[in-house]
Amino acid sequence: MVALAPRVSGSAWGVYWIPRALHPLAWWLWALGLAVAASRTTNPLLLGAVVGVATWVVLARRSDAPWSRAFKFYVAAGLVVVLLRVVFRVIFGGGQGATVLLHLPEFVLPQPAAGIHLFGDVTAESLLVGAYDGLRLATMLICLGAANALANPRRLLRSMPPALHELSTAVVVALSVFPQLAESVVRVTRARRLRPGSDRRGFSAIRSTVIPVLEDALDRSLLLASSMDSRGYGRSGDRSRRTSSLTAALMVTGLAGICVGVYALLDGTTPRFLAAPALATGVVVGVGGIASSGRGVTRSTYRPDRWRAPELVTVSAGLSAALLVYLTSHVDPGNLNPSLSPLSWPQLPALALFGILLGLVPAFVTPHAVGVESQRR
Amino acid sequence: MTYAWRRVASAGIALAASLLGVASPVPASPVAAAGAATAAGDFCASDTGVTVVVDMTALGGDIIVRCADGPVGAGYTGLDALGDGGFSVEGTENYGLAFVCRIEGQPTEARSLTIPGNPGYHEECATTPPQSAYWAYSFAPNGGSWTYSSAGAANHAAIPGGFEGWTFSYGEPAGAKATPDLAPQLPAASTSPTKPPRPTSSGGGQSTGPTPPPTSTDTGPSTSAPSPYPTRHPITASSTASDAPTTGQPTTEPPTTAPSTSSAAAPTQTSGQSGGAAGAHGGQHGGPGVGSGAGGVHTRSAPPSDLAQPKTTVGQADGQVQVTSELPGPTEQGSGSAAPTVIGLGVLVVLGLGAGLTAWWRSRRA
Repeated sequence: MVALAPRVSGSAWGVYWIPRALHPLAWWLWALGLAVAASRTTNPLLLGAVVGVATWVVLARRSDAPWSRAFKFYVAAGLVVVLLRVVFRVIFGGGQGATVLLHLPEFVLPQPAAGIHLFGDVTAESLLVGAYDGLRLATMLICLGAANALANPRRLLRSMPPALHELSTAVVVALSVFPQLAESVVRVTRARRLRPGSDRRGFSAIRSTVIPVLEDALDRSLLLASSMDSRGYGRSGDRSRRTSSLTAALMVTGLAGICVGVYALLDGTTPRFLAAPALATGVVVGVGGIASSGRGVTRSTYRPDRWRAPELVTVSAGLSAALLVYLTSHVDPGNLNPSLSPLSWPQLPALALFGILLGLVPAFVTPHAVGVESQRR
Repeated sequence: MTYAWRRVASAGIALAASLLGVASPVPASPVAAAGAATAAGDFCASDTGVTVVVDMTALGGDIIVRCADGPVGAGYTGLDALGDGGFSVEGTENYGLAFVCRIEGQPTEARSLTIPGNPGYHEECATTPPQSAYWAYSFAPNGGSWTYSSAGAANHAAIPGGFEGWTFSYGEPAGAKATPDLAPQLPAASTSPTKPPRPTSSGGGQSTGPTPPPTSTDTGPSTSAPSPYPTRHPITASSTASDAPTTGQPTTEPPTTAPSTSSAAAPTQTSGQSGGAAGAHGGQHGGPGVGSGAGGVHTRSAPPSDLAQPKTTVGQADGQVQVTSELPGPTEQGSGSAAPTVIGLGVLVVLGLGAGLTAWWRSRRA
C-alpha cells in the first residue's frame, strides 16, 4: 500500500499520493456512514467488523496531532458501555430465557416498587441482549472517536460555510472537548511521572492531575478564542445591534419550534398541530436566522482545504457501508438482529459485511497524513 | 413516562418463546380454531391450573381460552401460564420476553397498524411495542373481575384456579387499560368436554354461508368446519395450523366430539362451557352474512379491513387450516449453524491482525 506512494509529484497519480491531511468533512462523513451502518444492526459479527475497520483506518491514517491520540479513550469508553449494560442485565435481568448460567439469590422489591426483581438467575439470553445492545452503542461511539482521531476539529470548523458559523462553532467545540481533555490527561500524567515523588496514589494523585488538566483546558480555550478572533470569528461585523438580536431571536425560536415539532411527531398523544406544522415553522424560522447571521460575515482562511479525489474515495467508502447495511435491513432483517429467543448463533449477512469492509478502503487508497513518520521521535 | 411504565408493567413477560412455527402442541382442535372462543378443554377444570384468555378481537380475531395445567404454585408466573396454555409467544429483540410482542403470531409484521402519529405502523418487534397497539396483561380470580396488572407477566404470580388475560389493546383511547371482554368465571363443574357438541354456526351455516365449501385439503379426522367468518379464523388458527399444516391437525387433542363429518365438528359450544364467552359476546357477532341459527358464537364481528391476511392461502375459506404461511419470516431462523459465526470471527481476527500490523509497521518506520 505504501509502496504505491511515490514521492514524485507532477503526474496526477503522484499528486494523489502527496502526504496531506484529508478534508475533515470527508473523515466525518466516512465515520458517520460506519456509525449509521452500526446503528442498523445488533449482530455482533457486523459490529465487530465495524470496530475493526474503524480501528485499522485510524491506525493507518491518523496523524501525530494531539486529538489523534484520543482514539483509545473512545475504545475504552465503548468497553465500559458494554460492561455496564451486561452488569445491569445481571442486576435487573430477572432471569429471562432458558439458558441459566449462574444462580444468584433473587430479591423482589416491595409492591410500591412494582415488583422489580434484583439478581436472580443469570441467563445467557439476558447477558447477550445487554452485550449486543451495548456493543451497538459502543461501536457508534468508536466511529465518532475515529472521526475525531482522523479529522482536525479546527479545520472542520474552518471549512463550514459562514452562514452556519454560529452553529458549527458550538458543534465543533462540543465535539472536540473530549479529545482535547483526553490529550491533556495524557500529557499531564506523563509530566507528573517525570517529576520526582510522583508515586502518589489515590486522592492526591487525582488532584495533581485534575487541576493541571482543567488549567490546560482553560489555557487552550483562551488560545483558541484568540486565534478565532483574529480570523474574524465571533465578530459581529457590520451588523447593528438590532440585527444581531433579531438573529438570536430567530435562532432560538426556530430551535424551540424544531424541538417541539420533533417531540410531537414522536409522541402520538400530543396534539397534531404541534407536530408537522411546528416542525416546519421551526425549520423555516431557523433557516431565516441562519441566513441572517451569515449575512455580512467574512472570514479569512489560510491555506484552505481542497476537496479532491481521495476525499471522494473516503466519503463513498463510508456511505456505501451505510447503504449496503441499510439495504440488508430490507432484504435480510433477521440476520441483522440475531434471535436470542431461541438462542442462536449470529449469522453473517454477506452484503452487509461486504459493505462494512468497503469502509476499509481509505486505509489503503488515501494519502498519508502529513509528516507523521518524519516527526516521530 | 407513565405510559412507558404502564407498558413496561403490562407487557412484561418471560418464557422461552418459540416463534410461531414452533408452537407447542396446542390443545385446540381445528374446530376451536375455527372461531370458537372456547375450544375443547379450554377452561380449567381444576384449581391447580390457570385459565388463559387471549383476546385478539381488536385485531379481528377471536377470544381464545385455554387452560394452563400448571400446577400453579410459587414461582409460576403469568408468562409460564401463557406458554403452558400452548400460546406461542414472541418477545422483542431488544428486551426479549420482558415485553410480549406477539401472541400466536399476532400482530403480524405484514399487518399495517394505525397508531397515533404513524398510520402505517408495522410491528417489527425490535423494541417496545407502542402504547396504542400492544398486548395488555391482566389477571382475575375466578368469579372476580379483571385487574390490569401493574407488574409484568414475568413478575406476577398466576392465581391458582384463576384467570390470566391478554388483550390486544388497539384503537383504544390513550392510557386505556384493556382487559379481555370475557367474564373471568369458570363454568360449572360439569364442563368437562364430554358434553354433546353443539354445532356452531359454521356447521350449520355451511350451506348457507357466503363461503365456499371447504377445500379438500383437510384430511384429519376432524375435518374443518367452514364458518361464515373465513378470514378471521386464520388468526386464531395460526399456531395450530403451523403445527400441522397439511394434515388438518390430527395432532393434539381431537375435538371432544367424535370425529364427524365436516359440518358437525364443532365440539366446543356446549352450553355450559361456553357460558362465559357466549354471554360476553352474544350480541356482537354477526359479520356480514352470518348464517343465522348457527351462531358462530364467539366470534365478534370486526371491520373487514381488519381481516385481511395477505399471506394466507388456499384454505382460508375453510376457516383455518391452511394458514401456515401467515407468518413469513421468523420461523426459518430457528437456530442457525455456527459456521457463519466462525467465518465472521475469522474476519474479525483478520481485521485485528491487519490493524495491528499497520500500527507496528508505522511505528517501526518512525
